[in-house]
Amino acid sequence: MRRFVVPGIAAITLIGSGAYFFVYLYRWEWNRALTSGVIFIAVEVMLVGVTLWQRIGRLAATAQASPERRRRIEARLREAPPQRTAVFDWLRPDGSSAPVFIPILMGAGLLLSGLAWVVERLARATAGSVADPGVAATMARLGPPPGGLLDDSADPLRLLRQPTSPR
Amino acid sequence: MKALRPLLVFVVAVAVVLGGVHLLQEATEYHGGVGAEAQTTVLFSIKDNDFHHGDAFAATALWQTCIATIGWTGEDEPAPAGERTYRAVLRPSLPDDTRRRLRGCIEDLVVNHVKGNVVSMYSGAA
Repeated sequence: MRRFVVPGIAAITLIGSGAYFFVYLYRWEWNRALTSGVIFIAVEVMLVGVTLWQRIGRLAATAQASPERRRRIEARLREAPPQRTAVFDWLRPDGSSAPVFIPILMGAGLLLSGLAWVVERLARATAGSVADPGVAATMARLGPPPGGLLDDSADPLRLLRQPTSPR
Repeated sequence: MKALRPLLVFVVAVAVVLGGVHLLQEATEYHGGVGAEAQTTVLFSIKDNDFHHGDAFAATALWQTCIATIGWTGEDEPAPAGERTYRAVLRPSLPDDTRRRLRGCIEDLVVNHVKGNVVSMYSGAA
């Protein structure tokens, strides 16, 4: 009985507001027609929401796993435990002493990397002032001769090319 | 016969929908024109909510607004006809749909917290 109260009231409101919507249109009472239309749409949306809510609730109740089924799955999982991972197998004692060096090698690699980083930072901080004069000397040799590349006043073959009008 | 049943239902549904739309169109469409009588007399009362400019002004404001919505020109100013009741005359008379339209306006519209109620509306000779 209780589950029919809300849908019953909503249905009566829906029918009444829908009917009065047309009655008010017939009477040319636009404001009242608009109000009836808004009530109609509001109740309609409410009914759709209630219906969806009830159906989702039923689906959720259906999807709930039964306790007996849950116990059966747990027992099955206990019977078939997951396979052991092999990621850290090198840590397991297998009679050989070789794995003991692996952490030592990793630590040594870490120390050497740190040492290399320190050396690189030290070189960067101290080699700048020494390298600059050497670079300047090298760059100076790459420059054009005095007077430019077209000046042939020091060329011994100049008279042979232009005997009558030396520049 | 069983196969024709959906078709029959569809035809009936289309006829009902089209008939309903046509009825609604006829009910709400403004056909215009004038009535056969010489004049229409409207007796209406007013109510207001803190309208401080007097009943005559309230009645005139409501009346003029509604007359403008039906596009009528031959009207008199509303004259007092009782306790917060006013009488107004329109010439020539209003046809049926325009009378319904005027009644709907007076009873549905709220102008400056003033609303009205049609006591009577009749058409007749001058």
